[in-house]
Amino acid sequence: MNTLSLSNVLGTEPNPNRRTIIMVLHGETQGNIDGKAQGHFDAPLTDKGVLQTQALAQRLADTEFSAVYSSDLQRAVHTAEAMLNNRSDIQVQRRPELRELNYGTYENTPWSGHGDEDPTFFKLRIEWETRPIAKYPCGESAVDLWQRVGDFAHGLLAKHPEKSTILVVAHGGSLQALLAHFLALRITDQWRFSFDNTGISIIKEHPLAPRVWQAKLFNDTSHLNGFNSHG
Amino acid sequence: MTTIYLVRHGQTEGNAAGLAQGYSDVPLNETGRAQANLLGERLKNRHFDAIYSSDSIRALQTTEPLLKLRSDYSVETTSELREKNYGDCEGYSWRQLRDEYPDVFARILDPAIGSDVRFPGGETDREHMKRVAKFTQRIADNHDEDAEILVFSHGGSIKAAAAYMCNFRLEDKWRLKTDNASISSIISEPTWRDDGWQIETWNDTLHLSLAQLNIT
Repeated sequence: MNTLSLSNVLGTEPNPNRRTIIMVLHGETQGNIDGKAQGHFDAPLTDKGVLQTQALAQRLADTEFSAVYSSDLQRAVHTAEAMLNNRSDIQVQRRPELRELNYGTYENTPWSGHGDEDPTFFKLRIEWETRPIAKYPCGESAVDLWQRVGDFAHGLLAKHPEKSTILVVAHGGSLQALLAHFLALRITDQWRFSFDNTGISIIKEHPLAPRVWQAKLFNDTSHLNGFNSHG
Repeated sequence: MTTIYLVRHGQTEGNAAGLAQGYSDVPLNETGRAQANLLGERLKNRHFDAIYSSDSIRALQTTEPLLKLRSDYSVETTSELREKNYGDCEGYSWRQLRDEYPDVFARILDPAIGSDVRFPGGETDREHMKRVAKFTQRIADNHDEDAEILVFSHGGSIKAAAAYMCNFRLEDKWRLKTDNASISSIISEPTWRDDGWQIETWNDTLHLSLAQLNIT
């Protein structure tokens, strides 16, 4: 989808198959509170995280989904399932490509203090933003994440060619990559989007241009009271 | 953490008709005034360290309900935040622009060169971005690291400010949509890195749709 630009597709008639994708970050985990790089570490939601998913479900109660995809890690699956409460017609499709970045030997270790205590980890976090091939030891690089999430994005578009509203529940890193893919941004742009727990983001196809996507809403957490997380 | 809230003005008759307004001073219409009232209600209980606005009337009118609700607030106005200047083409619809300036229109949509193309007598996207960036960088530098700053401006100016602070390619800025009276915010974490600006929220219009999530 990176090769498409507005100029070579604009000017056609309104697209009757205009698609919408709603992206949601999972609810709070203990690792979020402790400021840890969780990666593939499979933590459950906290009590507050469960309440967040209930508020989210209420917020989206009137939204019809054509399909629901989730990372197969439990913090994402539980968030997706909470939203489908009382909807027997639809199943959560669990996809390992939507998992968080694999931090390798740094899985489930705290972000804070690492500037002094572990300069290697600090350097890796900076490098992840600017040098996408930098891999965490025994883990993934930004390119690895970009490619597996990109595979998911292409598969999703092929599977849902018609007008549809698709819900995707995943993690900060995988949602950043997914958003940047759809908006045709650079891999080094993806960390500029700061997702909060149960924040709602919506992208839509351009009204005139199939497969050209725009962000309609990013990280709306109004259902958690207040228009941002530090309010 | 510094937060800059970027608010787009309410609807004008030009917005409703899909016209390029640019520097032209077009007031809010009835819908726009209602949007500004809802925006004022949404923002009235928030603390802001400073409030700025474009000096175009549609932005100034959008600040008014908040200022009525909060007599302790005042607004500093600046021409640096104005929308892109469309020169001789202000008041044209996008369809008219495409039909009457097909060559300029096609070049503006070309991502390789579009940022440096202008309509006759107008500004390029890059010139507009530099003007808005100068303002945005200055307020980011002049306020404390925990400041909450509210800025009223225009769709193009909001995207230019965010694209500059987050180091996006200028030709990608149209990927982010801004509706009338929407609230977007960008944040910086100075403990993390100096140029670490991120998008925190984008195009929040909950105050307009009351509890309804508007996805149409």
